[in-house]
Parts: sequence; C-alpha cells; structure tokens
Amino acid sequence: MRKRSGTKTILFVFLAVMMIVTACANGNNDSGQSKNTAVNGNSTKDKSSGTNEQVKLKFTFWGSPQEKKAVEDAIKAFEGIHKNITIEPVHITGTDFLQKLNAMIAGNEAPDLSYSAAWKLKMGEEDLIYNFFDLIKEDPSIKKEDYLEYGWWNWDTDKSAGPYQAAVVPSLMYNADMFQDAGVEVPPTKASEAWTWDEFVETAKKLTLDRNGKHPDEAGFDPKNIKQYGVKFSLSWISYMPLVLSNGGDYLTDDGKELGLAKPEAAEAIQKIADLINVHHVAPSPVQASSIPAPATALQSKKVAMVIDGSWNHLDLSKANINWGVGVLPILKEYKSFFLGGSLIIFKSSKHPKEAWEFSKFLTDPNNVLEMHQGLWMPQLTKWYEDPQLIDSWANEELSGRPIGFQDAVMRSTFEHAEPAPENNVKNFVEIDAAVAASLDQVWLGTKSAEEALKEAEERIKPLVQGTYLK
Amino acid sequence: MKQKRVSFKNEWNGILFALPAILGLLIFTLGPMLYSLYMSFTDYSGSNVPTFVGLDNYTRIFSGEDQYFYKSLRVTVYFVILSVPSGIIYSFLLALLLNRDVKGKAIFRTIFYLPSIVPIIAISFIWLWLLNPDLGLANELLGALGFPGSQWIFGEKSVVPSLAMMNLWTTGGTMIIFLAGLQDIPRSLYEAIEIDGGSRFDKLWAITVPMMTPTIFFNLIIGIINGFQIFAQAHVMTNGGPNNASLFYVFYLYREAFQFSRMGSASAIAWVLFIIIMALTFIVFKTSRKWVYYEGDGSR
Repeated sequence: MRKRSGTKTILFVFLAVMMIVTACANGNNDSGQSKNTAVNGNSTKDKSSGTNEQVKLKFTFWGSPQEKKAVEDAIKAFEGIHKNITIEPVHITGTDFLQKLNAMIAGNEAPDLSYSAAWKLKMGEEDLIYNFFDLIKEDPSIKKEDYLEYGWWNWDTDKSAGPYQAAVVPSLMYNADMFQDAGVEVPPTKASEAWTWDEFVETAKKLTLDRNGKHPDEAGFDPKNIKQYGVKFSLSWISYMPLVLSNGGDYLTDDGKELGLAKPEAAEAIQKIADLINVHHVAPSPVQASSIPAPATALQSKKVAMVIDGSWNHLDLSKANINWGVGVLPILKEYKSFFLGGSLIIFKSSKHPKEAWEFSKFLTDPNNVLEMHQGLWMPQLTKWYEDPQLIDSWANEELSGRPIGFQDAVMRSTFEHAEPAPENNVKNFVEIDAAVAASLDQVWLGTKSAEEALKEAEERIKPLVQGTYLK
Repeated sequence: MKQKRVSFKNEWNGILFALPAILGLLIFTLGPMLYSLYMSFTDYSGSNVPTFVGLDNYTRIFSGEDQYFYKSLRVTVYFVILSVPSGIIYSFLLALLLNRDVKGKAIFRTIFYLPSIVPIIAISFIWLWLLNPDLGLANELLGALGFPGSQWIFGEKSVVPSLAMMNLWTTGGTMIIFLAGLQDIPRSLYEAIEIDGGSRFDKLWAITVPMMTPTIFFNLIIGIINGFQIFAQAHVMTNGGPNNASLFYVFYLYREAFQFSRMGSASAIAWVLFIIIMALTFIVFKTSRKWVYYEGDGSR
C-alpha cells in the first residue's frame, strides 16, 4: 500500500511540474492572443472619455544620468498639469533595452509607452503598437505637417511609429586650439561655404603630426607613428552617409531594388574616406582607432583635431574643459545631411492610450524638456527651426552645449539640406547594415577597394533589399 | 518484509532531499529547453504571438539562405581545433612542471591559476591592449626579437588564432584538474620503473600519460563544449569582425535573437548547436574506449 501511494505522490509531483511548465508556455500564447483581440476590439475613444479617472502609466526609457533626470523632471511637470495621471518611469540601460522590453511584453507587463529604436518597425508590423497617424487624427491641437519632413519612423505607407522624439545629426567637431597651433583656419560654418574634399584633406594634413613633428606631405613622415591625427571619422553609416548623399549616391538606388552603396557615386565617396586612412594618413584606421579614446576625450587630449561623428558628443564636449567648435561637413558635390533619433511608441496593450498620447506629445515638445534641447537633443517640430524666439531658447550660442557657429553649422545646415536617414527609411536596415559594415571592414583596413567590397556585399544581401518606407 | 519497508522509506527520503534539485532541473532547465524547442518551429520575434512555421527556421539555416550559418560554424570549428588540443597540451605541461618540487610551487600555481578566475570581460580588455598592433606589448616583443608584427585580432586571417592563443592564458582550471590527476598516480609505479632502470621519458610515457588518460578525456570533453560556446571575446573585442572572421556560433545566435529580433530562428540555431555538441561528445566517448585507461579495469 505504502509503496503505491509513494509512487503516486512522485507521479503527482512530476505531473504538477509538467503542468506548470506547459501552463507557462501556453499561458504566454493565450495571453498574447487575448491581449491583441482585446486591443483590436476596443477603439481608442472608449478608453479616453473618463478624464477624472485616476490613471497610471508605465514608461520605459534609456539615457545618461542627465537624460534620466531631465525626463523625470518632465514627468513631474506633466503630473502637475494632469492631476489624474501618474507616470511610473522605468529606466533601462540602452544595451539591455530590447531584451528587457521583450521580457516585459512576454510577461504581459508591457509598458504603456516607451523610447524605441529601429526594432519598433517589426512591432508595428505585428500590430503591437499604435499607428501614430491614427492618434494624431483625433487630436486637433497638432498635425502631421508640424513635424520635420523626414522625422518619421514608418513601417508602411501611412503607418507610423511616430516622429523622432528628439533628433541628433552627423556633426564635425574640432579643437580650436589645435587649429591655432597649426596656423590653420577653422572649418566654415555655412553650408554654402563648406570645404570641398580637397580643401578638407589639405587641412587634415596640416593637422596631422608624427612623433617627429612631421606632416604627411613631408619627407621622412612615419605613418606608423602618428602622434596627432587630423580627423577621426566614425566608420559607420552615420558618418559616411552625408558624403555619399553629397556625391549623389544613396543607401539604396532610387527604385529601392538595389544596394545604392555599390553604385559608383557612393563607392567613390566611401573610397575617399578610406583614402584618408590608407593613402593620406590623416585619419586612424580601425586598428589605430581602438587606442583612441571617445571623441570628446580624443579632442581634449589632442589625439585628433577634428571628429566626424554624431552630435550627441556635444554634451560630453560641453562638460570637458576645452576650446571646441562645430563646422559644416565637407562635401563632394552639394551639401546633404540628415536627422536621426528614436521615437516614442504607445503599446496597443495600454489601457490608457489617450493619456499616453498626451504624455508623448508633452515629451516631444521641447518646452517641457528644454534643458535636454540645450545640449543634446534637437527639436522635431518645424517651428523650432523657424521662429527666432524659439530658436533662441534652445540654440542660443551662449549656452554651454551650443558653441559659436552652432546655428549655421548644425541647425540650419541640417534643416535646410535634410534627406531621409537610411535607418528609418530602408526596409531591413539593421540586417543589411550588418552585412555592409562587415564588408566595409576590409575597405577601412585597406585590403579591398570600396567598389570591390560593396559589389560583394550587394550579391550577399540581395534578398534583404526590399525598398524603402517613403517610396 | 520489514527490511524492505525501511529501505523504501530511505528511498523516499532520498528523493525528498533530491527534490529541490530535480524540481530545479525540471522548471529552470528542462522546461525552458522544451519551450525553446517548440519556439524553434515558430516565427517569433520576442514580442509577437508565435506562429507555427514547421521546419522553416531549420531549412532557412541549412539551405544557406541565411548567409551566416555556415560561416559561423566554420569559424567556430576552426577555433575549437586550434584551442582545444593546444589548451590541453599547454595545461598538461604546466601541470607537470608545477607538480615538481620547485621552490615557491604554491606561488607559481596561484599565478597560473589566477587568470581563470578573472572575468572574461576583463581578460578581453587586457588582451585588447596587449594585441594592439601599433602600441601593444605583443608586437613590441616580436619587434624586439626581430620578428615582424601581426595585425592580431584586426586581421581577417589572424583573428581566430589570436583568440585561441589568448585562450591558453585562461586554462588554469584545466591545469588544476591535471595537477589533481597527477597527484593520484601511485608512487610505487614510478619506483618500479626506477628499479628497472627506466628514464624520465619512460616514466612520462609509460606511466604518467596512460594514468592521466581519464583526466585528459574529461578535459577534452569540457574543452570541446566550452570551445563551441565561445562568445564574450567576439562580443567585447571584435564584434564578430573583421568581415565576420570571428563570427562565432553563439555570437551569431545572439545577434539573430537580440539584434535582428528573430527568437524563433535563434532557438533553432541553439538546438543545432546542442545537437552538434551532443554528437561530438558521443563520438569522443565512443573512441575513448580505445585510449582511456582506467585503473582497476581488468579488461585492458
């Protein structure tokens, strides 16, 4: 008897465990489904009416300690105006963000709204997040045209995960003291006066020194022992795309069917950047760059005189004790640049999309996070680039995060010459760029020409190239 | 009758004590594993509702439609072939040296063991500096000896050998296991060979190596398993580059899951790795009958 009951107990325990395991597995599916049907069943309007109801929103975001503080201050200000809404900020570091967010979604704990990167487009296709254009239709206080033309993250025609919540741009930053020491004019700040490529290379040569103080043009220059580089190009699409666009190239071809980077105009531009490293010896190769610190420190320690990288470095530069400035990017044919940035997404699982929308609108208005717009972010509402008073509030060159020349060199040069950024325009961008970046490794290291490497990449990524969201 | 009852009670108590471990295995290992097996047959991005797609994920990787699968497999096998035998030989020789009665034996043992308790991320950063082609110690040393330098982890051809070399540095754990094995060899065997007039080499070849085969076998299995799972170095030092030359299998898996948001496909990739490792372990076990010597095993 006893033996049998013992066996039964064991069997029971095993069964119980297996049930828990399978229940967890199924629970996930079922809840996912019910979540979606619930959302599709209800329209936004039903949920919005009760404005007196006490509402709690969960908001996931990333960012530096300063950004965290600014966002939390903005939340306090928002809660001051909307007494019935409380916002629970969940700060997640950037590297873990998607993993944590996915875990939250899988566990039925999805936030109401969130910062987001390129992965949001997949969520849009999966119907997990609201179409921004649907939300904006119901709000008379703001319209689509108020935002920057190319500031949208769309996953289909007329289906958008929102405009940039705050933008950054490719930027040329320099250490003014090093220009003075070399007796060279600092970079121009007006797009119409941008350096041609040859002028840029000449300047970079004057700013490059080896251990013996020789320039690349002089006899006896030792390219293996360079003490000070003229320029450091961050070797990603963010930095090479302005030059590609400036030469009439693009990431994909106009019809969106082929890799535009493999075309002569684009390959030529990329080859010119590689030549900075391997022919002119004015820029560090990936090998040499590995021992150069982050941009702000590299400029401060005089390892490099100019850096071409994202404008998010302005914040670090403003904190470093250094005489820095910004100029317009060098060009090949005409001036081109772009904005880039994340956007705020609202999850369909949210019980309070109307309130989430209010907060999203609040946080996208520079007035409410002005501090962040005075050193790190750039606004995404067009009027902030046109109304002198508004410009003065965020781009005043007296501000520590906005050096002399900022309005021309960064703000106007981008606003007036903006193209769509490949990241929020090209379909399958993340995967395509992983393949492109791997091929370009060989170009920067000088083992292959840009044309060769990109032709090879083109073959490999053919199935991934599926056009753009804007065309 | 009575005796049987007591023994069953013991059995029951034993199971009770083992229950936490059994439950842990079921809930935290077996359950998730089966779940991921199921996921490998679905299209799952991490956020959507998984839809069943049959063998699609598997055909996609095996047909070569996913251009990275075979590449990462080649890179990983290359790494295992370089790092496992060299790691075993190196740590075996180290263990032989440190088993001798040298002065400061304990200090040397500590020194050689130390790197294996340093977190792999920290090790990666140290070696990033050592292997820097322009400023690193490695090329300085080679230069001082009159040899040309290498691009190390920045060269497509040299990146995997560089990482295998770096791996040698962290084989302290293997060395400790060899040391333990060496100390288990009865002194009487050596004495017998001394009486017969055998040389040092005879001792090594006729006694030490055969007596150590079970330990070598163990370290070989562990080495293969660990070798296939190399990840942190690619993540921290090379990002899979240059030109995917260090796109190790697990790094490829990680990229598929977390950068490309294809959890279903990543699950399939993980299961393929599981089967590869199982198969290799099985093969090594099979061949072990031919070369592993167990003391007290009369059949040999």
